[in-house]
Amino acid sequence: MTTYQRLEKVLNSVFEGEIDPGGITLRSNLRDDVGMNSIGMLYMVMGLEEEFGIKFKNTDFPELKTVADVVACIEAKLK
Amino acid sequence: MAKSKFTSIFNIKYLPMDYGRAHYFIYRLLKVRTLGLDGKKYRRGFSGGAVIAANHTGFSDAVTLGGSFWYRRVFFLASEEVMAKGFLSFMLKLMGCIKVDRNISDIEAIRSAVSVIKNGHTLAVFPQGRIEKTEEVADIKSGAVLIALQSGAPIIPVYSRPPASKFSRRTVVVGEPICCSDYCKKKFPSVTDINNISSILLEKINECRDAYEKGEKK
Repeated sequence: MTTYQRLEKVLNSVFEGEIDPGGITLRSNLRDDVGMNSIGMLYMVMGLEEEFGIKFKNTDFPELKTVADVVACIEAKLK
Repeated sequence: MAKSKFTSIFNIKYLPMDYGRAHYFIYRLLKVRTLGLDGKKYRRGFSGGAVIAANHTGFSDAVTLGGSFWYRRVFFLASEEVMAKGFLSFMLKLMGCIKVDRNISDIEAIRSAVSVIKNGHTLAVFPQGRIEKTEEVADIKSGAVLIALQSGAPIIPVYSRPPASKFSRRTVVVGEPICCSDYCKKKFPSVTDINNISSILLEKINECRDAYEKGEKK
């Protein structure tokens, strides 16, 4: 499974019933297209930490605007 | 090296907190009475890590909770505004306060909170997120539930209000623990699961409020 696919799995699980599973692409904006607020961001990040075994910092959040940004951040942490 | 009972009772890292607990004990004797839902004296109903979720009516709430649970090391989540000033921030940290920035997704604060609970301590959270002097608790945020789910700890709902008279003891009503795993067994709890458990917590805090009102009328 690619990083994006694993991220999609986490998003679909955390936001079950709240987002259209097929509607997320790499270009999707987290706030405008996925409908994420600051608490939603927290839920997503905690799911990602569990899934990938990584740790996010508060300073990572301003960089996370689109799904592609999240994938890039995860891959940077996995290196 | 196995943790001995001695080190769990006496730990130099927690010396300032334990000094504070001695004061909490005296405050509890003089100014606080802690009751269960049945109106009788509350007996220590939980062990190990736990999240205490209480309503927030003023700055003295933290001292009141410290007094009610003096036999446990109680850590608190405090907003960045309260912990902004240098010396006060230093003292509050020594006394077990964890700074939270309410304007961002403060993952580091959540992680610190979960770590405290996993070490077997108690974390007190005010899920309303701000001071509200209303009697009924109308709305709460989901941070307490998120921390409890992450740490696997029970949530203890608590309700208290300053008494009408300054010379009366303050009553604290402690409810039955809520085990989040009873409501959600998934690896990644969804937003819906967290909101459902938050609704249950709100209901339990208001149950404590009803018990409080009943006690005050006697």
